[in-house]
Amino acid sequence: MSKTSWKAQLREIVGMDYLLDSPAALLAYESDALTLFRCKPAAVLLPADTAEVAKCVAVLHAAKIPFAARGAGTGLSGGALVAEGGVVIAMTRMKRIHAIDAEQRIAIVDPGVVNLDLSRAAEKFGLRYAPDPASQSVSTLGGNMAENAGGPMCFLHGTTANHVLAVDVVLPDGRRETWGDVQNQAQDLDLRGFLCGSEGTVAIAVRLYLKLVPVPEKVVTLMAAFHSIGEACSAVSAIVAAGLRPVALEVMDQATIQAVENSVYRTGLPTDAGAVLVIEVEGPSATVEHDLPQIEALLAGFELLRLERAETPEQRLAVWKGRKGAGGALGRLAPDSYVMDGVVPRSKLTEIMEYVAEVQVESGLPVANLFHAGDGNIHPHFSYDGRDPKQAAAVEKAGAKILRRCLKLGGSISGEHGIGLEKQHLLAEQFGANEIALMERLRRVFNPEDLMNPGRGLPMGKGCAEAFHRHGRIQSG
Amino acid sequence: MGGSKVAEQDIVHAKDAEDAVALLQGAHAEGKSVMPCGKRSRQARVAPTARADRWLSMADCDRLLWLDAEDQTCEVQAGMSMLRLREHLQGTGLELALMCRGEQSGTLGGLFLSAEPSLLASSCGPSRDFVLGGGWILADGTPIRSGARVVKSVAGYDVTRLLLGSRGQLAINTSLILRLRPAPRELHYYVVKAALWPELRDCLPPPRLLFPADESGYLLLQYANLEVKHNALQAFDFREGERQRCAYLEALTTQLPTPSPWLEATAEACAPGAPHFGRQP
Repeated sequence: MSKTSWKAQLREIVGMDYLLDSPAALLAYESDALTLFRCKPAAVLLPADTAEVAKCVAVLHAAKIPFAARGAGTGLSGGALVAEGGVVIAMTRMKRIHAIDAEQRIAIVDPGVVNLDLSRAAEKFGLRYAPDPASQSVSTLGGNMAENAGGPMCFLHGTTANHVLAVDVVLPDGRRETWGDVQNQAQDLDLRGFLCGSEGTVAIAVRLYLKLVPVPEKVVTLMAAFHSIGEACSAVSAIVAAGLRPVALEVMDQATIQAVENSVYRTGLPTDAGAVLVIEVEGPSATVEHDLPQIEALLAGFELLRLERAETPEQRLAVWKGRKGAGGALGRLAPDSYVMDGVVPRSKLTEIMEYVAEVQVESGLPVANLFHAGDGNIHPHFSYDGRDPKQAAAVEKAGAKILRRCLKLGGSISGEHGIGLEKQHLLAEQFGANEIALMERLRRVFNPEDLMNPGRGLPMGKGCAEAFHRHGRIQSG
Repeated sequence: MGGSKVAEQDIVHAKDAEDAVALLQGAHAEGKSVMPCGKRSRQARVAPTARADRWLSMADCDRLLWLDAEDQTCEVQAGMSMLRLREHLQGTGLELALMCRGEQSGTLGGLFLSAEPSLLASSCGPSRDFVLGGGWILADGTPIRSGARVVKSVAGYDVTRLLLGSRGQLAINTSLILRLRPAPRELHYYVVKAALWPELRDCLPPPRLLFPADESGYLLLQYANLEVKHNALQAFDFREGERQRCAYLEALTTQLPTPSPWLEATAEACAPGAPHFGRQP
């Protein structure tokens, strides 16, 4: 099949306006939020519905053209970049909330629905969608599923995989299937669970059946300011060890606090604090009233610089404005950002933070820390100038060192950003050859020709990540 | 033999994971298919198409491998029972928040492999959500690890999710990394007229557990750490509540998992060319 004919067929399916191939239009699709990796696709498709996605995939499959589905492009591991000559299938036109079943507490949505839009729509039924990645005002639910996105509320509510009941998918050859069951009845193979976090390499989600949770009766947010990040981490351990179950336990270090306070997200955080810990407690009033004094009593055991209790929606919003805006505030500090994502057992948080500080000194680059402390999920945020090859090399080397230390402490190289292109070289350090080979064979069950998002998620093919690398792959020592 | 009673003499008991690996490698070399059987308490949930030359039980492997109370995680061998795990967790203030049929008699490996539904699914999450990873042996005797010991990981495919519930047709489970949570400080039972529940549901905090009381047209509600006051609710004796809960659990008929059309291809991918667990090649 000639190049012209497959493009012509795709144009016929999606319409003239929804196949983009001008250099200017493609520019926006050459990277996701991790700008270390770039590749301009041959074309971008913007299908309107499931039928169009299935037809487009069938055409691409027949023409042996690699393709990758993409949501809002907020991914942080280069997961939705397609290989040279490939096609991006952008799901952003598919943004209908088809139904909210208040009685069953289920939402049926298109993959292009923005995360926060679902919670806003569910609010009038007294419900909400729990997973809340920092990108929730932009990122799509399909993208969240592909990366198994988390967020601050995941400490209590779990990640995306815990909230997807079923999913309609388009397979790499264009066939359609439904995986999972809205009644949560067991199937012997949990393909729905397997799909979550598979980074678009198994199937494309075209409709999601999501679990909603009731808006809690009472919510209280505490902001505790500590002298040091170590003390904040110790407080997290103390709260968890006491058997208390706040909905979120979020830490921001001094560099983050200062970036927030110097930005439009300023919210009155104490800039002299070594770290702040944001604790949110929610549930029936009786539960909140039981847990809150216990948490405050535990915090009283630390030498706090400040402890504030936010009870009204406005007060709580002010606290969260700082936390949720921190990524944006840090993004202003340098031309480029590299947001790491690693996990350690909660009890090792202090240790990993000490190590991050060591690596910061070695790298000579500014690092800020804001992280989901309750889950042990760290996000060291490096600010650098990618135009300087030395800085680019230093940031990658530092990132790899931190992730290796996460593994050494019994953790994981990714808590919520995925492997994408970024961490392929490290996956083999978390899993052995047998495990990687099994994953590779499983990928081939669903995606035998490796046309759907090739070279993502698993360490496949030498030089794959290098092909996309903006600066040329730098060997991480 | 699938779905039928397995005789004790047909079962090989593994001493540990290494022993199980050797047994499976031997069976693989002879072209024999093997099925896991635990304590044989869930034979009804064995896939109807399964045919085994040999049955392998991990029931003797029932040690707690580690417990990180601060991190609320632990790893147990597949032969551990729910009852035994509760004993280990006593004094830690932690629980594995599951309530499944046959939990007194069966192994945890069997419980998770057979996709046994939990009565606490709506309040605490489905069974699969509590498994962070584990140790497995593929049909050709290859040992593998899945997942991680941390509560959150998206490194590589979630192989754990695929293997759990596969009813022993993809791999034999040797150990499970479990996510624990704080155990309820106190439990309270209430009864409510079943007819009133649909209306009441949105006015009351969600119960931990809800099930029909003895043939009375009433529902029994269990709340954790919470005394609920509402005109339509009547407090119920705790001991009687527990008795009814146990009786309900034991009499429960759970739906069998739906077979997936992807099973054959997935089994072949797990161990190419091997006589798959309970499935003749």
